[in-house]
Amino acid sequence: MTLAELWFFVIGGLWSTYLVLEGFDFGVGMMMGVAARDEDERSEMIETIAPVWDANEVWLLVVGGLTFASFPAWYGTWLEGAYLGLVVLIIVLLLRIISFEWRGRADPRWRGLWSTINIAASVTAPLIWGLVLAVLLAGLPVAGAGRVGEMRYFGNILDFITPYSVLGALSLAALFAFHGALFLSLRLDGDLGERIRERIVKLDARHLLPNLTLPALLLAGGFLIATPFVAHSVNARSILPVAIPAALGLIALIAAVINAQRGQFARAFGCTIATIVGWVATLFIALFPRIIVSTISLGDSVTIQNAQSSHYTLVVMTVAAAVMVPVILLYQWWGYRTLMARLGRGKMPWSRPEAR
Amino acid sequence: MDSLPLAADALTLARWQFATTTLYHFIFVPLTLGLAPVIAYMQTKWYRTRDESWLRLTKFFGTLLLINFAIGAATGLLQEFQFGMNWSSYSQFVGDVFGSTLALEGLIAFMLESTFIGIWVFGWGRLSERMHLASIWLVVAGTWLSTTFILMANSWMQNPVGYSIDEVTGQARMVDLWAVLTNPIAIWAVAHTLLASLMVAAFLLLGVACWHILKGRNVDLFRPVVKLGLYIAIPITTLTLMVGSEFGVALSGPQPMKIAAAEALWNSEQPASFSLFQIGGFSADDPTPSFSLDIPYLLSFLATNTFTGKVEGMNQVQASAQAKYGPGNYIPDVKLAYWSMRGMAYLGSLSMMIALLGGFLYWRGTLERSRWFLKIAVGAIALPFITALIGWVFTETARQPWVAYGVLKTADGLSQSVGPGEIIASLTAFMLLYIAIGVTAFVLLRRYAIIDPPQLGGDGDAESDPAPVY
Ligand code: HDD
Ligand code: HEM
Ligand code: HEM
Repeated sequence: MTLAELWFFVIGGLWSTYLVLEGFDFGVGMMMGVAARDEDERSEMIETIAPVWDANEVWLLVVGGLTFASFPAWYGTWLEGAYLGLVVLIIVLLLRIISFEWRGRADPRWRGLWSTINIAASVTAPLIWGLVLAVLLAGLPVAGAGRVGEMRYFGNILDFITPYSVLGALSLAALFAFHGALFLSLRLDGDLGERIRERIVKLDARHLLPNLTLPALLLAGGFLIATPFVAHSVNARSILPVAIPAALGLIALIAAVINAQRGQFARAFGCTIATIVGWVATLFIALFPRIIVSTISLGDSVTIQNAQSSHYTLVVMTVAAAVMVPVILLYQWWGYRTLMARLGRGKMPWSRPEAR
Repeated sequence: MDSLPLAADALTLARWQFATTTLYHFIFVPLTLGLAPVIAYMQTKWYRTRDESWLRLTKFFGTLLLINFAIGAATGLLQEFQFGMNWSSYSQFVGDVFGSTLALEGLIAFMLESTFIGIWVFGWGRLSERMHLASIWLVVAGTWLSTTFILMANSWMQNPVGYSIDEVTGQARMVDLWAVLTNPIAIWAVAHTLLASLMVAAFLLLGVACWHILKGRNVDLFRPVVKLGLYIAIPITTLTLMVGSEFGVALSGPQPMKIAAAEALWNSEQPASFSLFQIGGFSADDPTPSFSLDIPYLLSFLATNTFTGKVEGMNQVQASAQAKYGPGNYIPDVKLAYWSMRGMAYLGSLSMMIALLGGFLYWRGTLERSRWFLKIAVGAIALPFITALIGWVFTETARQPWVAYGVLKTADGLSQSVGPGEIIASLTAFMLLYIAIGVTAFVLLRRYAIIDPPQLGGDGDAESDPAPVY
């Protein structure tokens, strides 16, 4: 494996980290829309992620920076192509960050508005990420590979909408809703916690629609099953190597549902983590050795080979990441442990009823 | 920038979008950079002396920091992506060097600051006091490291070092990380920017404290804040001016055009006089001002540190640039360069005078009774913010037409497939968003700057924590 190939998978690993962490933040946001009865309950939900959402989001900046450094042509072509989609994404992420900080500080009459913004952002962001990631495999009109700087995007945002990328978008959103609900079920007590757990567990006819596991199962399952075939037809990949991570992801997903049914929410949460990692791994293995499959001709694709930066830069980045990522994980783990993990279920210690 | 965005081409629009977006980010950045160490200092003071007024002040200013930090983080998110979105060709060309510094910033700085700000905010009473104090200092370290890395990236664009051009791909390839990290321009830029940020914080401390004194509220609590504000403002303002002046000397080597444009100096002079104020003289067709007020020898001194040094004029630099880079116009917007440089220097000097005046009144013991000064101090909160923004306008516009000096022109850095329509859409959306956020931010910061600082309750003081309220 070359250093650049290693970096391709490192970037995949960082995407998984980001999506696992911010995934439950988004899921909590979505649950605010469907499971909360009033603003106080929404506050309770937000409190579960209050100390960590910012740090979770920074993983995105790390992925972005490292993609820029290690595959400039990937970073440039991809972001340029997704221009309008990213404008929307940035606006919602930006508003979401501010909604966290200001929801409780601004005029109480505006609390509902900030909640709505947070909910809308939590739905929109995973949809766009799913679209933008899955379309790497579905293919985009890129050409000019070889002499970097001449790598060009020849389409517009509509090229991002393909059946497969739409499936990617929906699957990520559904998966995050499930993932976030599991997170909440671990953090919340009382009536609200009970209601959320119900939405995960109850599967009879009356609860079919509000149930959260079913969409996750169908959409994320569908994505995992479809990917090896799409990779085969679009990217000329043989099915088997892609089917292995897909199958593992699928098993994790099913295990998540079964565990949730049994009331083993912590285990189920572990399984949705594995499913998200499986989702990313399947996609990245399906792409390899290309990064953006070209719909103009396969030879025009952005590949690991033609998008990589210099060996020197890759070595620098390898050293930096090898030192920093463990350090980051260490202090973030310490932070989670100190602030959250010891608490178990129930009101977060920083809840302040008098502020309501 | 020569034309307004109306009916403009993609390049002009993209430049407007970039300029407004980064300038907007930099409204909030210096306050975070300056206020974080001040708060860490206050908390340290409380930790050492157990004087509760420092704890109350920590929490009071901590709330302001948090409101501001959120916007800094939100607008920063956009910065990270706009290089790829609007400047795709640039990104592909420089990713190797420029992307690396950005990646290092994420790994080393952003993670640190965002994790520990969460820990600081929610850690009151849950961490040991020492760890809690350490967490705010780690936030300071994170934000200052972030400045260092981003300004290394920016300085590489001002003065590209440590790279070579790849013959096969045509990209700038990093060959010497150390050279990039020790770019002489970066060292000046970091010092100048961090000092400017401390100025922003000092004037905020001073202004807020003077407001409370003016209203006769919490006077005992805010008296030490006046002192702290002055203790920071007087030396730091002076240092900012001195470092800025040396910065100019350092720049005249790598970017002689910028310095010549800043002085509207068309032809080389030796010795060169400094123009305090002039009317006209800003274009090649009209190189002689119709009115000007000059100080002999001063420019030679500022640019070369000797009274008789030679300062190159734009015509001469233009000629050598054409010889080096081929035909083209290498002269930036001279009027903008001239006035932004002066705007920065004059407003900076004004800040210094206000700080000195405050120091004098304080020393005489009449500051609290000098209502006129208290009012000036409140108004002066805005001054360093404006000065710093003008500084960036100068830095970036006087570098044109280059995006990476001598290596890549701004026009060649643009994304090829993003048309004017798309940029108009994004620019409009961002502007509306900025206005809405800006107004809300102002209202919130104002509200929390004039409330009474939190009282410390006997049994747990949760309600006074500078934590977000959900
Ligand atoms: C002189 C300092 C400085 C300058 C020139 C810039 N920034 Fe900045 N940035 C900061 C100083 C800073 C900071 C003080 O560290 C911030 C402000 C609030 C915060 O969260 O960190 C920050 C936040 C911030 C964030 C959010 C980090 C988080 O969520 O914690 C990003 C992604 C960027 N910036 C990226 C950029 C980019 C790509 C820039 C170049 C155009 C840029 N910044 C200019
Ligand atoms: C936050 C502080 C900054 C401010 C306020 C700022 C301001 C500006 C302004 C006003 C322009 C417009 C110049 C023109 O088009 O005439 C500009 C251009 C540019 N700046 Fe900065 N800048 C900042 C930091 C940076 C940093 C840190 C980088 C890189 C790391 C950077 C990269 C660029 C690029 C790529 C351009 C060219 C695009 C253009 O011409 O608009 N800037 N900046
Ligand atoms: C005291 C108030 C001042 C403030 C708040 C201030 C702020 C700033 C800021 C924020 C920048 C952009 C930083 C950067 O390029 O990295 C800047 C650039 C600059 N400042 Fe100042 N400044 C002040 C005074 C001065 C003075 C008095 C001088 C010189 C006499 C000066 C010289 C410069 C120079 C030469 C640059 C351009 C650097 C470049 O092109 O890269 N500054 N200033």
